[in-house]
Amino acid sequence: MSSTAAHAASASWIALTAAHVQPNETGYIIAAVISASVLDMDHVFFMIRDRDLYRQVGYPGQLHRARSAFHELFGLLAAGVLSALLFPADPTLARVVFIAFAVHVAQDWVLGKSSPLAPVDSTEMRFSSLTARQKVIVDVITLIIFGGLWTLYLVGRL
Amino acid sequence: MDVIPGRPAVASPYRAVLAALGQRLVLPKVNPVYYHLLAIFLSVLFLYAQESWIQIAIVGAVLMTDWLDGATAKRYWQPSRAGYVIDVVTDRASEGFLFAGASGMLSGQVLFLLWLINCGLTFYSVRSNRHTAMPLRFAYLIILAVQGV
Repeated sequence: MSSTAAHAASASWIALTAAHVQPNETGYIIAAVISASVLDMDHVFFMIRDRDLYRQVGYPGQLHRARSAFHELFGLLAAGVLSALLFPADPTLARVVFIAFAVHVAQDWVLGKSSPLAPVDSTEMRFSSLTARQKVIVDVITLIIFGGLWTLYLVGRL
Repeated sequence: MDVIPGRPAVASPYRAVLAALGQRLVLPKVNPVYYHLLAIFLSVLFLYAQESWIQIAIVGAVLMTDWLDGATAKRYWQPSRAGYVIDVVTDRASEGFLFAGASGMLSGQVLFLLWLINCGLTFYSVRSNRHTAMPLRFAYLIILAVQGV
């Protein structure tokens, strides 16, 4: 699980460059950043709702529980349906929204523990066993790399 | 109970051929998760593929990783429901990226709509303990190959 800033930087950059959006197309850039980060709103909801529990057990290593089914395959399906509905009106927007959202979901699957078939099945999967410290390092590296790539993108070097 | 959804009988001949091939292959004893990670990485890379031969190579490589993870898991690891879940979730994520990348073409748009159904079938599979999915990436590889010719 990455930080929202790391998701916003990496997933939106991948969506924009894959959909061939130009740096002056501000609307698509805003849509990409929102699509790449809006998913993390559900963490806020669960962290507020279950704050007493998190005060007891601590936040590190527990945030995979503070998420809704939208962080799983169900969310990917919902983003796919939204993208399919947007496609006839604006194919580029449909691509940007879906790819940004899908990259965020895939990043969280790859970097942490999840129940990807929730709410239908609660089986947990774990791609990697990174510690909280290692996740912070991955986060920082992601922000540095994609910060550089965003700079190149915005000055038109990509 | 750790129930793994069963594969449909219609896929048995195809799976038997792949299993026979898998037995002859020298497979490194690695965690199959590495093949899943590679499949997701390649599928994201596909978003940037412009040339048709590169697209064919990437989709072929993704299908190869799908086969290798299954063959490795069968040979060295105990089958589990968590392993099954990782496998199908990787397949759906991979398909999503591939068909989003191909949405500039009519075939890609149709496959994307079929992918939405495949996601629904994945939920049905774990609910009914009967694996049900359309081999969309394989179909896409054939479409790409025919278009390439």
